[in-house]
Amino acid sequence: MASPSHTRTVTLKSCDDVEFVLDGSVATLSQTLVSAMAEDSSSSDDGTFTWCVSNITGEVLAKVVEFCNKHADISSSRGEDLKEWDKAFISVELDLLYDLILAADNLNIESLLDLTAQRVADEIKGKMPHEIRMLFNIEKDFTDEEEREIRREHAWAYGGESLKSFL
Amino acid sequence: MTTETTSLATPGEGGVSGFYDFPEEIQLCILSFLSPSDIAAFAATSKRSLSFCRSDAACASAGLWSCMCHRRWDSLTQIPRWGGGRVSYRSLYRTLDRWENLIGFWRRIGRGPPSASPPSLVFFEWGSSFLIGSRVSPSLTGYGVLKIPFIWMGFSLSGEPVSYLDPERRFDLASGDFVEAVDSDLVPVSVGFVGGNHFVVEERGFCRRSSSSDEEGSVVGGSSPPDCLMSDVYQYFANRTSTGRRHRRRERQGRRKLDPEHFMKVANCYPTPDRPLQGLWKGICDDMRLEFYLVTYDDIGGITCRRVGESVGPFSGYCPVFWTSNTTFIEPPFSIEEENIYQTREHIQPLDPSCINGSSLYERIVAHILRINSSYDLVIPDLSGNATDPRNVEGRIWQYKDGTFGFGFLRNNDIVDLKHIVLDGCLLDTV
Repeated sequence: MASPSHTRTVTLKSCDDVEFVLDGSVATLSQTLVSAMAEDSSSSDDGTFTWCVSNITGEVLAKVVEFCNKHADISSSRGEDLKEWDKAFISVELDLLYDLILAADNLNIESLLDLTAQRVADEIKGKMPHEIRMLFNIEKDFTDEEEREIRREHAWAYGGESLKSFL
Repeated sequence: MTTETTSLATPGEGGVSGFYDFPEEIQLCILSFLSPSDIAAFAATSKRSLSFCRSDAACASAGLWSCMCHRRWDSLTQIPRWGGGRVSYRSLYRTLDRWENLIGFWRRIGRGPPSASPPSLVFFEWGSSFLIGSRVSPSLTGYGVLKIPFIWMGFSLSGEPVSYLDPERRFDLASGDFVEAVDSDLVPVSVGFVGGNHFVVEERGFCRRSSSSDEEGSVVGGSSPPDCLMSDVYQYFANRTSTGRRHRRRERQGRRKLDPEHFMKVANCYPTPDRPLQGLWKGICDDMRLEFYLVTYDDIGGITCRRVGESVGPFSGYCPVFWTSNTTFIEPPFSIEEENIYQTREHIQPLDPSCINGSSLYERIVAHILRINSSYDLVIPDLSGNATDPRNVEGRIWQYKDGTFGFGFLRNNDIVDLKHIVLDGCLLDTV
């Protein structure tokens, strides 16, 4: 049974009314679109499907579409090359990165969610608690003594170098 | 040390201004990419972060530590089957974090079990819900490799990490979970790490009883001080001297079934782009027996190849098969002399040609050549009279297009072809 998504084009509409036309096979990277198209398949067979994403701007959606087009293109999606491409793609400011995570979650695009989450995790790596608080606007709500207690509890996590720098 | 920290301190209209503005599944997804030390730093940021990182139970399949386990090991093993829901994911993470170091090759050091001399090389790999260690040795036919499982590591019904030796080789874990397969004939053992490159298998109940190592011995992979500290290693050996006496006492009582076995990690088992000859190889030499070889690169750019010997005699492991201090390959086109050296030699073939799969033996294309020395005359003094003739020691490595290579010496007409023992993490040609 052929999936209808392969034979159709999908129009994505951002919250600020920017439209993107995707090939049906590209749209299958998004589980949200796959489900939506499956529900809709009975009503329209003219080959088009329009989906409004109410909380994603045109700027962010353009990046999402760029990602999907690249990753759906099997001929160019080869191991190391694709990794390099991903790295360049994700070298963006943090606010755009956060919007991309939300968009990946909203459209349920697993590979984009992993890529963006990994990038945020890379921001956390090697940072001290006070630096992470700054990065994420987290308010410190316990005493220094409690903080020391927490570090003791997690002491197993540290090998030589990090132990020295952390305690 | 000051690190410049970028902060997204511009709370937008409904946008993300902090970590907890993300939906929880995104928070989990982000944190699952972190190491335990980064998680600990994150946990120390606030009460909410702490409870987020603490939330952990065997059934909390959507908790942080479950995500951490799945992120790190999903491609290698079946995380939900480990411990079958009796182990908290945090304990599971800690145990697997430690055990993962076992994956790969180890070499037994010191005296083995007195009764037999099992192969000195062991190979650890992932099972569906356990880790399995096998003794690995060359078979007597062709390039086949004997693989005999001897130790299993998994979780008991009570959710404790446990390890078992199977001296009678009756254990079959081809299917089913670890806990179901364990029976009473198996010998419970502890696997104690001494630093990252040395571990000891000891019968449980016969473990050393010193204060510092007790914890490590009684709970495999249990909490221990940072195991890379040299003081631990010294402590360990200091303890050995006193426990030796205890061992003898126990042996007199006749209860001990197995002597402790020590293993050292075989580092750099695989070739890398910079070190194309590095690693463990197997080849059939002129006595028609399959042998394992280990090619190592030293810090100043030389390479040495040694047999991975079954013999435990002194110095037997130190005699190199070949070595060179200059690893600059001769590139094609090759000179007529070099072509001749290769063309006039014969590849040693296994006695039974049917064990060779494919026709690769007949299609070897030489991509690079390297000059090598055999150094028998350096090791055996009475050959020194012949040492002036370079033909006694000079040889070649012919590296083929497929990445494997053969070697031979000017003093005879043989080429010993070396093949991979492991490819993509799997033992090849097991029989």
